[in-house]
Amino acid sequence: MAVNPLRDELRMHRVPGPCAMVIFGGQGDLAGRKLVPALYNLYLRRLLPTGFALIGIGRRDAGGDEGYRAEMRARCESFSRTPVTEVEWQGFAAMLHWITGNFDDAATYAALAARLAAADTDLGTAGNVLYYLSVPPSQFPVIVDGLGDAGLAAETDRTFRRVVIEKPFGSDLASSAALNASVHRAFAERQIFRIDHYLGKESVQNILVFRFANGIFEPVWNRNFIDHVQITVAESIGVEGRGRFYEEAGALRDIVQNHMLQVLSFVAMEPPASFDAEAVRDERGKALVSCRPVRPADVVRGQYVAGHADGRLARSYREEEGVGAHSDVETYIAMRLLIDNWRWADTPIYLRTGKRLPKRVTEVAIQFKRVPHLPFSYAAAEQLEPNVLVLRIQPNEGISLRFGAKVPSERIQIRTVNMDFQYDTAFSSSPAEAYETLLLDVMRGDGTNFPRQDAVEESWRIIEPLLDSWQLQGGGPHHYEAGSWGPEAADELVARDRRRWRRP
Amino acid sequence: MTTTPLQIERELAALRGSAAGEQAGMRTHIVDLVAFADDAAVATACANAIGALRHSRPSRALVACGIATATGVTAESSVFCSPMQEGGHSLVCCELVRLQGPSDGVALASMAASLLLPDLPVFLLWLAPLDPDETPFASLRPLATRLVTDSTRHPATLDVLGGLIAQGREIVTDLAWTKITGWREVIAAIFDDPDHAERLGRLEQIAIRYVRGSAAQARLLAGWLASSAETDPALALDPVARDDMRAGSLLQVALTAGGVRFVVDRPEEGVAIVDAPGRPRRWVALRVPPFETLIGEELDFLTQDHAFLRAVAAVS
Repeated sequence: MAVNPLRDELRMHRVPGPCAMVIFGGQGDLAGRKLVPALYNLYLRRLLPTGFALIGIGRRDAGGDEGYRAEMRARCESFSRTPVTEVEWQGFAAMLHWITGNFDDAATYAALAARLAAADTDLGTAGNVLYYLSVPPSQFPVIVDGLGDAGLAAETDRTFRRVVIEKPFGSDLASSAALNASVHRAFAERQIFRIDHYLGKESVQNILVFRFANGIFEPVWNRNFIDHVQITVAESIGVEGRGRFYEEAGALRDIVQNHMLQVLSFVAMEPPASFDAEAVRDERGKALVSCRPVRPADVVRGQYVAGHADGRLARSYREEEGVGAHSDVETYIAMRLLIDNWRWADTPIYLRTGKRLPKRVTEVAIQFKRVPHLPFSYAAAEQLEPNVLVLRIQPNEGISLRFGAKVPSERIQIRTVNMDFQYDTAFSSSPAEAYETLLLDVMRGDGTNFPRQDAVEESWRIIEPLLDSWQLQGGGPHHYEAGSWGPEAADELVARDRRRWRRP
Repeated sequence: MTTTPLQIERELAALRGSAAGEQAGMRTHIVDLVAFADDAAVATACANAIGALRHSRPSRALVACGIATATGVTAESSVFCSPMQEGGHSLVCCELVRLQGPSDGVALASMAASLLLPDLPVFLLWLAPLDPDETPFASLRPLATRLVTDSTRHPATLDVLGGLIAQGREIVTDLAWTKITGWREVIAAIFDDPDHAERLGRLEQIAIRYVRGSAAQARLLAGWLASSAETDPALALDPVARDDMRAGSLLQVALTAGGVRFVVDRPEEGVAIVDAPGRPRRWVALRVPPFETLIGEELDFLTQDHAFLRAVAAVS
């Protein structure tokens, strides 16, 4: 394809080549809340190709193209980060189309083929297509087979076909492998993009820049200097109407298996040879391969009971809509992980995530070892804490370093202070939504921020012993009050190692 | 009453404290901006635009203006604070100091140099006729990381820029270039189409209609197209009188490439019509950004804009 020399410059964003995007489940919650608003914002930022079409497919009749456009306009008015304006919406809406059909019906794929051919002719989409499976995983094999049988998954020398799938990528190692096998029936691995929206966040991507673009951190980023690492994903909200889904998943499958282990792979990986997608994914994958499967004894499960969160009385998990009255599903999990390689041997990585915790915060805290000898009196250094480097992923993205400083007075007294970097004060422009970043990446064919099959399966391998143990031995979660930092057993988990959780 | 850098610093610290109240008022750490205007009205417009910036605010902006009757430097300080984006408990503050002084600019340049925050890049926004050898430009230029001129307002500037760029001392750009970013995006999008992309290498003619008063935007657009396409097309510039648009604004760009004609026409402020062969006519939004948006866009870049350099070289 000819390269447009007018795009080869500083201010002109690299706009992807022409393509059509097909959303299976085009009227669903994800499409209306995230995908279509993200595409609308890309359109506003002039980052969508001129030759572009969005085709929604679903069982329900949306009222044709016009009905679908009206429905998506209402969704964008509710969920777009930029207000919808008449002129811009009209330009965007002209690219939206709807097909009503069952996913297991060959006629649906025939209609899709006809619509794609029309988009090539009318809108100049050049034969390139990306399929977004915004449907439950049980539908993936049906759709993939439908696309394969209709010849809609096959690429040519000049055109691409890509498929995007959303987590959960299975519910255990076996189901994940089965899911991958079913998608591979029609698509090669290079055509598959598994979305984990955490990897689209600026602050997660900045971990790589922070580690590998600065000379002062990487030399101390190892077991010789680091005492331990804490990764926290805390939410102050409950399950918010997702009770039925949560009953199937729990915190382990919903957050740890994907978001947290992917973030861990950024923190633990070795420097890649280049910033090429495969080089980065190879190194992240190796970090996960080195993770020891977690021992059930190193894990604490919790479930929230009624309490005060965000200043209001919050009901217990078991009282949430769609949740069983005797549910033993965990809404909190804390664990201790070990990585068996030269960089991290014997350096514990503590992960914790939960709902109805005191605040919404995601951070990685690197706690360094204490100095070998303090030449100050005990009284002078009593308040001195270890150095901690905190990478704040959300909210208030930034980096802070805690270190000891002399309290101004006539005598030596040391107190720990913070050196703070905040994105807001350094850059002041608001980052794009993760879905905008990731959808652009898919259109450009850049897989850097998407977990590969091997990484997904490795992450299931790491937590598989827990799933087996819970299935065999049962045992309910510890209870914790909504608005607290989790069950006491989680404190005991780190106290065993003479450590304690940070209060983010 | 004339002032000193120390008095200004004290006043800014007090303003920061009172603006933030009980919340912590943190100064951004992005860039210093020094703006120099030859006209009090332009200086006022510039100060207002800086106050209206929503993103990419400078940490400290110094807007200087020479006054024929002034005997010393006077200052008027203000602070703009806004909450951090995700509901943090701190405010992010930017400082603005308006300086007036004798019109030779020597005292103003010296005051500006004293007030710059340390270790930050310095943007020099030059809103006056540009003579590289004259004070205060010659005094302020060594401090600048980035020089931003305005050749729409001072058309002769475009002819001086080639020489400054050749010296390679600072990063250079021009607000006339910033004003045509929207036009360039619309034109670039035409050639994203694979059916049209290869025609760009056979660019034969560029015809640009613009509002009489300054040819800077039209010349830069033509320079960008010719240098990007690596061709030597015929150029036709057509100034017309229009009261409803600002001097120098582009009205229509017609390109002949590979034997076919592409036209982007802006019949009125805010919209453009794109005609490309074999494609349906498209209406797209095309606004001339307000002054604060232009400044904000410039403050986003700290690296050399090579497309701009090529465009200037093509028209020099």
